[in-house]
Amino acid sequence: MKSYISLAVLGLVLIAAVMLYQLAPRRMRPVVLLAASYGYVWMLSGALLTFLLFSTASIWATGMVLDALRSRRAAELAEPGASRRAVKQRYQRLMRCMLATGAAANLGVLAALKYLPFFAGLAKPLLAAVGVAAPTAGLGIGVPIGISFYTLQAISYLADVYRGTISADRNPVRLALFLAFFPQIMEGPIARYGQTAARLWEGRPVTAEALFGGSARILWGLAKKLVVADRVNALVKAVFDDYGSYDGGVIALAAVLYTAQLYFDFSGAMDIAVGAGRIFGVSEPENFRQPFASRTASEFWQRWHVTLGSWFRDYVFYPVSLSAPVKRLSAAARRALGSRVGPVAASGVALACVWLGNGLWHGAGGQYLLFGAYYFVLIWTGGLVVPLAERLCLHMGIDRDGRAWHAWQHLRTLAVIVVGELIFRAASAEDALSMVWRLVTTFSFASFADGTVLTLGMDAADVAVVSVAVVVLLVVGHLRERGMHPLRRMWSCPWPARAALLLALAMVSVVFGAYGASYVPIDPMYAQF
Amino acid sequence: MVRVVRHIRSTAIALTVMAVAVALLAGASYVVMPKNNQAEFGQVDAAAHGVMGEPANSIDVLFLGDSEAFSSFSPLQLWGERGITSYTCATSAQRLSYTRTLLARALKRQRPRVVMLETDCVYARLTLGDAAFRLLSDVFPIFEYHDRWKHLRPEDIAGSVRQTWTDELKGFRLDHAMDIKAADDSSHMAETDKVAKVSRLNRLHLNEIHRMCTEHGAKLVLVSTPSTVNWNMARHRGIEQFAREMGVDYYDFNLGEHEVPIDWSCETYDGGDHLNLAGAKKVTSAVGALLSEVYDMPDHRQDAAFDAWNDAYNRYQQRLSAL
Repeated sequence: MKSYISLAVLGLVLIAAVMLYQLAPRRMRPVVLLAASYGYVWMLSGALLTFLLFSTASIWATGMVLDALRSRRAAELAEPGASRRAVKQRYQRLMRCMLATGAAANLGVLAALKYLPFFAGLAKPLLAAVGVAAPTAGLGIGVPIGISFYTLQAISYLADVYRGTISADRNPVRLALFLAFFPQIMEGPIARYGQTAARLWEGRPVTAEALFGGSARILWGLAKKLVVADRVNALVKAVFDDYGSYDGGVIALAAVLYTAQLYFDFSGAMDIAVGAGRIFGVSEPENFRQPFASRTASEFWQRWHVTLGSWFRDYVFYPVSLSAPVKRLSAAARRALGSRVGPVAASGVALACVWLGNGLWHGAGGQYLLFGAYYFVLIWTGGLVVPLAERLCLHMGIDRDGRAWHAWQHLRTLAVIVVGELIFRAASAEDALSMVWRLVTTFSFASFADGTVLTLGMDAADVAVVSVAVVVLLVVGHLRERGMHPLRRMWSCPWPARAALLLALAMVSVVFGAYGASYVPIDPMYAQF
Repeated sequence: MVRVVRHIRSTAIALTVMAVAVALLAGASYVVMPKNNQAEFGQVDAAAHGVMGEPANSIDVLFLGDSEAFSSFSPLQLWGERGITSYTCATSAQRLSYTRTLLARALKRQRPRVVMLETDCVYARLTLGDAAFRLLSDVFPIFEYHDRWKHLRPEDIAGSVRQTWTDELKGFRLDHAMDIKAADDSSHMAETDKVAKVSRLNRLHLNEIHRMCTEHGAKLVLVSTPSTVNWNMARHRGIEQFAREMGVDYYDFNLGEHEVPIDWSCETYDGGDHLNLAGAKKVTSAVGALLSEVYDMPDHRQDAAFDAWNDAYNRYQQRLSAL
């Protein structure tokens, strides 16, 4: 999609949904939200809505079976003379089997629609050996909007029911709404059932405070996208499409600007989703917590795309770490390498699974696998060398709690993030490596000195706007790090101040937004993943 | 009672906020509006807007359309041959929503007798979003000219909007006048039963354009200029059918009695998509004949009030000689 269609449709659906929601009797309000959500998916993906319906039906049925198995297990355990261990083992096997079936059904649809050509390409030599031609194209039916996001939500629901964290929902409409809620389906946040389902079902009336707070958050997000993300796109695209024509300095600038573009675009979309949810009285989980304030790559991933990181932590990292083979490996590593390095070394298995999954989740391309491998190596080896680094600092007299060390950590992490995003944006893994190589070997400030960088799609005025926006975001981020929330503080102000804020935010987008004849419209960037 | 008061208060607040929003948009629109219709003042598509700088009610024929129009209709040639005053309000990849806007702007100052719409833009994809954005930009020009904040001057804030400039070529373009890239016309206008449908949104816009023309006493005429790339039999049938339904005249210069004999080996500059000067001359002559014979357009060449056209024509001839 190369237009603002999805944003425009979201705006129209939101306005219609708010009006109908408010007019509907309370018990019908969730139905209004579900109809709006399915209408939204239908408008963007047409009949591919069927796959969302399939996911909903599959997790509802699987959840019901899991709950039934749990009840039967409890009943059998209560019977006198039952072998508790045998009963528990039998039911654990059955429930695992059900969980695997439900998850596989959902992941299977995702794989078939999104990854078929990629996996076929990887398996090409194997297929060729047995005389089968690998398919070069997908199924040719497209990919429904938000499939990567709602599939993760579906699996988290099943896993939570399996673990007993939540009970299976007997109400398929409530479950459907949890999976399809329109503000979040396109780009997340990836919510857990326990976070949103109950509130969505309550059908709370839209209050003036919620409408103001939600609208302000939506306009804030829109400004982030239109003013900054779409403005830097021209330069980013020019350089990434033809990096061989530019020196390392320009490539570094493009990588920095792409990092900003992705942050402003994605976090802006999250602001819109959270703001829209707030209007309906739903607190969506936050996806960003000032990620550029991180001091390590690991911390960055606890602040950037938080719901994806926590999903991989809870549903991949912990299960793999706690599996019997990895536990045995961990024990062996502890014996061989000591109690500090040993467990970190063994955690590499779980980390590798997380980063392979994270890379693949973003897309079927070598650059995404490289992106995952990059962070795996950084985070894993980072953990391994901590004792060594501590000793080195002690030896050199460096104060690891001092400001200078913290500043160094910030700078180092920013460089790590920018290189990571360069890999992420590159057209292929080969291009990513070539760009990094070119960045290092041809780095120069010549293009800055002679003004060439101002001819690549961003003039001095564009640079000024982006700089002001970045400073505003830094100030807001700093305040939020200190526990203050400027937008939220405005809620307690009298209505003229609140209205002035709304109008100011809207006018910033209208005047300084990068839209219209001079710009290429960019649909929300994470919608493609 | 408390509830009613609260309701009235909420409504008053909402109306106040909306009124302030409209005032802000209108104020910002005024500031960013180009203060003259020249590119130097920030005017978008200045050549097409040059019609606003022509003396009031001096244009008898208005040509509308996309690049097919501005590379085919030469108003100054039409003047030299027939003494007809015309202007080409054409822009690249023009969509019908913009055609409607340009027509509305031109009709504020001109009373053309004939409005000729080149039909390639009838098949340009127009989305609801495009149409809505166009409408919004027409009401609040800030949406079209918002990027002018980069070049604002003090006079933009207090100065009045004037439209005094006109294009030397009256909207015609000579950018590729002498370029040649031969076209393969072996299958041009090959017979087919297919009819290329005009989208519902484009139909709506065409009907609106027709209504505006009728309301201002102008006759809407549809014209398809020669193009081996953009025009075919299915589109011909589609426009023929639509013109019949709408009750407007339609001339296709690609075939039949009105065919303009284009030499596709040397009268196109991009392989049959657009005509070069040699091709444009033929089309303009054919249009001139139609306008004089069928629509009885007056010849103003001996009218002293139109002396500026003779001057412009002389400069045009000099430019052609210099090519």
